[in-house]
Amino acid sequence: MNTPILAKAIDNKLLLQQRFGNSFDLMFREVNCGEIHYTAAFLDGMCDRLFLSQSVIRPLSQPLDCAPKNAIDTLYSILYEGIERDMVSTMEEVEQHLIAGSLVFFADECTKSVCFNAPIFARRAVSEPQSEQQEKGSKEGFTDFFKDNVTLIRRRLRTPELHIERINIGKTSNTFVCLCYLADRADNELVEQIRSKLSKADPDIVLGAGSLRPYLEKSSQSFFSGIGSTERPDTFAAMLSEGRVGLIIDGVPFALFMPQFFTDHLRALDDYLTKPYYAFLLQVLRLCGLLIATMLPGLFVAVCVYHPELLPTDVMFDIAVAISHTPFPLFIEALIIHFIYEIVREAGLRMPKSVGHAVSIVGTLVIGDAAVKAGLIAAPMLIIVALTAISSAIIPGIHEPMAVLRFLFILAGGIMGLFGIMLTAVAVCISICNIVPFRIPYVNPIKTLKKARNSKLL
Amino acid sequence: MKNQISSAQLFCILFVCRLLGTFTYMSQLQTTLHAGSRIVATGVCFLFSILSAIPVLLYLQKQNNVSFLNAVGIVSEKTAGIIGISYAAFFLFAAIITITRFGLFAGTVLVQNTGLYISVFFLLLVCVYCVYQGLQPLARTAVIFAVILLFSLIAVIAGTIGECSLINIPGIRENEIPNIIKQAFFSACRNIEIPALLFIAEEIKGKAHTVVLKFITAFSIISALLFTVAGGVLGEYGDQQIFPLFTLSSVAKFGFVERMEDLLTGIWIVCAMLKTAFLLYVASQCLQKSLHKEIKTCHTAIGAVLIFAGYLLFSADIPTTIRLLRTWLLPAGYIIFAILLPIVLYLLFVRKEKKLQKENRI
Repeated sequence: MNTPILAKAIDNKLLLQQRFGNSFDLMFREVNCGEIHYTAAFLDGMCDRLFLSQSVIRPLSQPLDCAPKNAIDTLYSILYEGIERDMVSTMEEVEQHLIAGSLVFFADECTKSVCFNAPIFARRAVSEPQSEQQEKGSKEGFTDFFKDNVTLIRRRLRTPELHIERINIGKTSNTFVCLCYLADRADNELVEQIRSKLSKADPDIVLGAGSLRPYLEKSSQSFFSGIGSTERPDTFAAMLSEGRVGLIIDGVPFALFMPQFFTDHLRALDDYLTKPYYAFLLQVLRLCGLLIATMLPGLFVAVCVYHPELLPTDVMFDIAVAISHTPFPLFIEALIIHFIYEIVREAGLRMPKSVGHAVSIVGTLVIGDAAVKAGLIAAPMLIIVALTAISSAIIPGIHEPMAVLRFLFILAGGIMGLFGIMLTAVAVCISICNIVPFRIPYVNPIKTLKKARNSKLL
Repeated sequence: MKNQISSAQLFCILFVCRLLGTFTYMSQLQTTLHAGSRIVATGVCFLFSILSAIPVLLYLQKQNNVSFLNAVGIVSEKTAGIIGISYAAFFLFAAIITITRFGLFAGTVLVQNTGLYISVFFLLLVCVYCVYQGLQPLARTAVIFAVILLFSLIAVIAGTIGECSLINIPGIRENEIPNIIKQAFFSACRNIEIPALLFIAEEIKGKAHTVVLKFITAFSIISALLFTVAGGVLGEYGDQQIFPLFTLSSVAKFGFVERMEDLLTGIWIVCAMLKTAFLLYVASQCLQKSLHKEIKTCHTAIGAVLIFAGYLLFSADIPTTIRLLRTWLLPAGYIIFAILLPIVLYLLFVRKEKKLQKENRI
């Protein structure tokens, strides 16, 4: 229910104080312009006080020539250059503006109020992306403030075709979410579909990209997702230029784009800045890295336990000697060592950076070297784990599914050998092939969205 | 219509499913043929396959986007129900043969250390999962594995071609001609995937009949090539092996990779799984349209249980069972379900169409 703005400024002040529970940062200033009396309200720390006092309050020191009931209209019409302003008529709108960093004016005998928007708050500067490093690409990454992120995109796509729609999502958080697309390239149906899904989304709070995924994805049963995320504005701009639709969320240094395909994981911006033959080599390497990171431990267990004849004779003997000295069966050993690796990785990720180094040293020296010397772990298994860990770093975007699938493949390989590995591979393939984000298959081999949409092959 | 598969995907799923039969070709179960005669039999099989596919092709050309059961349903709902259950039984029977045959293959060369029943159980479990996901993911997976399969075949052929000698392939002997025809007939009767198209016609984008022709041609060429290489490399030794093509892959050497049969076995597992899943899918489609509403939701699981029960029943003496099933029951079923019934229905459609045209003229 909408609460109208009351005709007495003092009543509005009391109403706001009641709504914000006498919060210390809700501040009021009385401004007299001759016969006209204004009450200004703002949230301390959310708006640029210096800018507002110089651009809005100081010009009001001169008397205004208008009737009291026109006080708000007059204030709205006075030209304050460079300030975004809005006229509102309900207390709910006033609250929204205050939260967004506006200075709100009430006046006696007026049932409207004018809001001057000049938000300012502590924000992180544009810095190099942490999770998506590029050799030759830009060194700018998304920040936490959505307007900075929008600017970063606008700088890369200087065209009026770049449409950015602002939506408020989250019952409590009221987070700004920007729907971005290039009007001349994005499919209207796709944009409409996403817009409709966002309008139906009703999370309580939006603290990260993950809060919106369930509302955008049809099913969350699969290991992989048809919605991608990036920390890089250049990658995001590239996705938009392919006709995809993006979402920038306030307070999140990652932007979402959709639809995302499997081949996107194999691509990096650097590929487009190098010669095609090298880019192709890199993509093959990434695919191999993905297969190694997911299947190698399971395959190693399956081959060593059930099909040792597959290995060259010398290698087979070396491995047999190494694993004969360890107390656990190879299958259990693989599970334990990968479990420990995931613990070390998680600890390294969550710990403060200074302690993180210590975790790495303990992980490599104690678990690695000492465990092999003590005969608890076979050296070949440690090599496999190291190879797996390095390979999984090639495609950091899908670490979660890779980690889970790795355990599944170890289980399958340990229980049923090559047979189990192949069964799991088919089940995973079927699961991946079943993902159809926004009517285009996730596994489509065609790189551009437009061609994929029109393809008769899919 | 949504959730349709493309012509290329259809081709791949047919190709992957059918090639499993060639991989697990058992020389001791077939009529006694020498390598040269086997290659000729493949050529004759191509002709038989084309001829036996004509009724299905005619139906597909005429009613491209209407499922067989829906078309029958227009004439009589009851008849459609009976035909649906009969076809489902036929496809489940074909799946049992596939599983039983694969069980023999797996038990002989693959999972000696693991219980075979457990392996088949897990295979069926994954099949049920695949069927629940639908035909589209199944077809897309088939495309991925068709590419891998093709590279594997190239690797096997490239790895053995050096040891291939035409002297090992004897010419046709006069008394072998009846056996060639017999062998070609039995092989043609194993194209179970072709009548299956009658029930997924609605889910195919493009012209299915041209895909069938391309599939039969490609399959015949690949089979002939594999039998030529197998004959040329293994000679008469190949005739004494249970699975000559498996033996061929064990002979293949490609750089430092000496045991290619294990790698190929992995791909053959996939083929077996995709074929069983495909047949289960088609059977479940038939059951879905024929059975009572309450049973509809679990028709796939029922199909899988029936396949497993069939496998348990037949696994006691697999070679005898396969010989019995393949020699008599499967060809009989193929003639009825892939040739006779589609012909009858096609003629009924033509008659109905003429009647309508006549009425319009009047």
